[in-house]
Amino acid sequence: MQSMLCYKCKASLAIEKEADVKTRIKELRKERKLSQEELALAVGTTRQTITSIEVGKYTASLVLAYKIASYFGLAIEEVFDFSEVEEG
Amino acid sequence: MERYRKTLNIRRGWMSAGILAAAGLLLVRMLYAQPHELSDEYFSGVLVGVQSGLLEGLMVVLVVAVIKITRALADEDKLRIMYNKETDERMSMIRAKSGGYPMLVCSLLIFLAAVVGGYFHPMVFYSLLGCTYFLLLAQIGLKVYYTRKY
Repeated sequence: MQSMLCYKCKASLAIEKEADVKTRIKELRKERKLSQEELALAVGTTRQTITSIEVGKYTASLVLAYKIASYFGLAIEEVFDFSEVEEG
Repeated sequence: MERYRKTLNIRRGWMSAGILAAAGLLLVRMLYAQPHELSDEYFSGVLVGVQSGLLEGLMVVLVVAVIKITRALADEDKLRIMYNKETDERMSMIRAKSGGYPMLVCSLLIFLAAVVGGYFHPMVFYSLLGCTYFLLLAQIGLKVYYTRKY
């Protein structure tokens, strides 16, 4: 595990290595017939960032994860799967 | 978004001032340039060329940026996209990891030192110019690497 600063809220976060956090963003987008561009615009980020999160290359910050989950009207843990994240 | 709109207006003002300053300097250079003032004629030409190229390049970059800002200010969607690009957390991380603004400022300072140092010795100029290119290339390479990684 690697410790990093959140770029939005400046809080110290324990960021897991890539692919530790799986997401349901793609599935939720398809359900709602939303493009990556539209979702990105709605949550205040770029299409490239949404792509990276979807493929597991990049782990969203707490703030962005919250915005995405809120946009879909779900809780963070319903959009992001933290089951593979180690504790400690 | 209103605050960002104000920031862009201020930024556009500074950029327009930069365009005018660069144009003024180019005009002065064209009117009063003395390319043979240094002992080495070839090197004198190189130095003048680099300085003119820098000013012309700066003008082009600033004009493009001013056009982009003006278009964004006229269109709410474009403005939001521009804001998202600037504040995107992944891009901020990539920028920070690839050296970010400090490295760019260092490159600029070394380049200015190259121009000033060029008046003392051509070797100083070439060394510092090479150093600037290396820093910029390293930063571009890192940016490409981290963009692909994340």
